[in-house]
Amino acid sequence: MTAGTILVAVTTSDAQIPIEDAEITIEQSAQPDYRTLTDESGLTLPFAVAAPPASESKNPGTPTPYSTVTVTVRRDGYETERRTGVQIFPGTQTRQRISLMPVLPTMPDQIESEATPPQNL
Amino acid sequence: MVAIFPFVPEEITVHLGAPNEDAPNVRVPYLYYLQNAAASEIYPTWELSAIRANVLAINSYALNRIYTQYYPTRGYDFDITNTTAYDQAFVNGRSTFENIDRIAQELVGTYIRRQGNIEP
Repeated sequence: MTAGTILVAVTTSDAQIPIEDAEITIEQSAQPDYRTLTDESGLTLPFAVAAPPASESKNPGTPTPYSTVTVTVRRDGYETERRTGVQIFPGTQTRQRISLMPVLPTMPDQIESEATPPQNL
Repeated sequence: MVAIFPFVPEEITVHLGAPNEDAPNVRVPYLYYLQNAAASEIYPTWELSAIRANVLAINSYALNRIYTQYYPTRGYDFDITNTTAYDQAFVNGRSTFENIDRIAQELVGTYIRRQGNIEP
């Protein structure tokens, strides 16, 4: 089974400052959720995700040649961010950079969600 | 007449819709724009030379928009849009790919021009 990897980089302040100990959740269909924390550089270790074989992305008209995951980032004091439709290709490392916005403790925690549209080339 | 040389900007302002559409603008580092546009228009599993060719084309297109100040001269307050109907794809907040990121970093200062012209 071919696989790609995903690495999440969490920063704040317009991507200037890395955030340590942000809780990352990676969800895929038919797999248990994967949870990890970012290190002092705001990075996770690369996480392997199953992906369709590379041959499927070489010609037009084939079914979707990537798998998708949903990435959620949580950290006290910041607004939670979610990215859906994150694409994982075989043999390739996907980098998902997320910048968190600080929130006041009194504000309710809303989830900012951005979706990547399907990409059929 | 002083020749103005094309330059690679630090940041680029992208309009998240058609030019006349009421949509937000985002200002992002130029290298991130290039990596994002490339990730949105090609697959990272393609041949190295195909990725390089596409990155050069995407870079040249964006640098042309900057060099000619295409949108500001028409009264808009952004440099480029994110729709292929007018410009090229850019999906705000999307993930990028390590191999394309590396190639973009290498080629961000390179563009294609016509013989006899300096414009990207």
